[in-house]
Amino acid sequence: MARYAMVIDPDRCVDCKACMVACTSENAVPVGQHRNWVDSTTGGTFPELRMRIEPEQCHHCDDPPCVQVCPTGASRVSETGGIVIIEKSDCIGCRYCMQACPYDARSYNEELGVVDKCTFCSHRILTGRDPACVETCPTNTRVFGDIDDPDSEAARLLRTRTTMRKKEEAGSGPNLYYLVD
Amino acid sequence: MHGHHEWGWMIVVYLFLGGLGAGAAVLSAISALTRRQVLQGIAVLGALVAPILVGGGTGLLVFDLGQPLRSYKLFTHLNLVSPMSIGAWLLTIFLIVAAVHALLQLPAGWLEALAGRSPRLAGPLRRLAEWNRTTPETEALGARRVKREGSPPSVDFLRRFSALLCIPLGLSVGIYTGVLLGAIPARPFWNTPMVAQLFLFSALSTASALLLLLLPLAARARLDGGEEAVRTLLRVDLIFIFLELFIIIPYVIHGELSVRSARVALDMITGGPYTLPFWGGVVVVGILVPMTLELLDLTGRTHRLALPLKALVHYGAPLLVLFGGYLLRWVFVHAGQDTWFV
Repeated sequence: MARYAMVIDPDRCVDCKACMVACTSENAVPVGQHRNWVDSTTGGTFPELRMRIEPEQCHHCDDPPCVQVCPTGASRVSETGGIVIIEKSDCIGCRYCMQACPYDARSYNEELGVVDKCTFCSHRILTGRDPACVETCPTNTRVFGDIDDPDSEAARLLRTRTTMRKKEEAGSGPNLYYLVD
Repeated sequence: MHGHHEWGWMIVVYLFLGGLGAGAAVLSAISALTRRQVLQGIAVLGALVAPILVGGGTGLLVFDLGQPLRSYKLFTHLNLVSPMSIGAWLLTIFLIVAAVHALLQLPAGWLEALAGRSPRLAGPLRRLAEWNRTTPETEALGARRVKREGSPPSVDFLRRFSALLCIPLGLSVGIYTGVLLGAIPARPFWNTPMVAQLFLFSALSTASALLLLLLPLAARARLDGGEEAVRTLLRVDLIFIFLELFIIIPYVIHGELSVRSARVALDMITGGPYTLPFWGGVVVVGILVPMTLELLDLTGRTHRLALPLKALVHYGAPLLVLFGGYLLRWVFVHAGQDTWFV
């Protein structure tokens, strides 16, 4: 069984937002909505300042709260690699999943009346390609792969580097790892 | 990404109406089951408004969906860990039972008047009027009970059974409106069992307030809506708004002493943007003021006041309770959407 995950090196990210553009274009995300974004925070006091830049998106949790609360089963965990997906034809647009997501990673498509989210570009994965955000990143901030496969770059990074996951206390088992060293 | 509130006024109104109707069903069912003559006004009015209010709220809920026409999908799927999935089934069962309860509580006089106006339905309406016609029966001790001599045993059983079912179903709908919010760990302002308790107590209190306002209609329909019914509703309302206070106090204490996310979430009402609506609106105007007015009314301290003032106290207090109940849902729906794990 594959378990898809993403390992992110925040130190490499320069907040150029190419990942956002690539995602929007690849998945025809409507204007005003985003499946991924970049959080940047500044700390310290002038002149001793630091900046932390972190790409953000769906964390494709092992036990996703969005799937748990979905009343119609439209939100589900895909059999291929545990990707969290929405079956649009089953979505009634109640937006309960948007309340339940600890990462605020879902958006509402007003025009279609359904909820939208990152799919790890599952249509690309099927053909052996990386997600659009990974492929386009000019600084190689994102590494996508199957962490159940010990030979994958993502699994190797998890073995050899120190990583953290965000909001682990939410108990949902996120699969986005951020390098901390 | 934070900032926009996906759930707006339709959800607020739904939570308010759902609680109000559920509370009315519970009060009506208990009143009907006691068969006490003096409580029949509450039984009839509560039975009548319950399915209308919950039905209206459910309508808003469906209308708020992005794909209202797909709402049937709620019933092709049962997800026992999703409060919304359980709630959809619960609302449906409640609406059916509450409608049966309402039909079997409708006064014979109203049904006959309706039958006179619509000849096509006159037959079934007259039959129902026969079933529902009440005759008071004097008891050796205590209050007079009502009897329905025109009801066949099966109808009598259905009347009592639907009333009995209305109690757990009404309480469940009242609790569920709070669980819908409370079961979301990602929203620390909501994520406590106290929200469900608070919403349930508010449901029962707003329902008795609404029935206090409607009781004069019962008198016009020659139903008993007199002094005893008023006193009963005032007592019920006082008990539940009092209990609300004792949920709000531990809610704030627990929040302040909890993990950082809960403390930050509680800032919404302790200095944050919802401080005034909550403490000024919900607590003072919606609980403390009507509690004082109702206590004065119940203990007869208003009898020396001029009639307009007396009426102001008598009808003003329930209006404030309803206002407070609505504002409570508004504060929770919106403040909750401004909070998340930190």
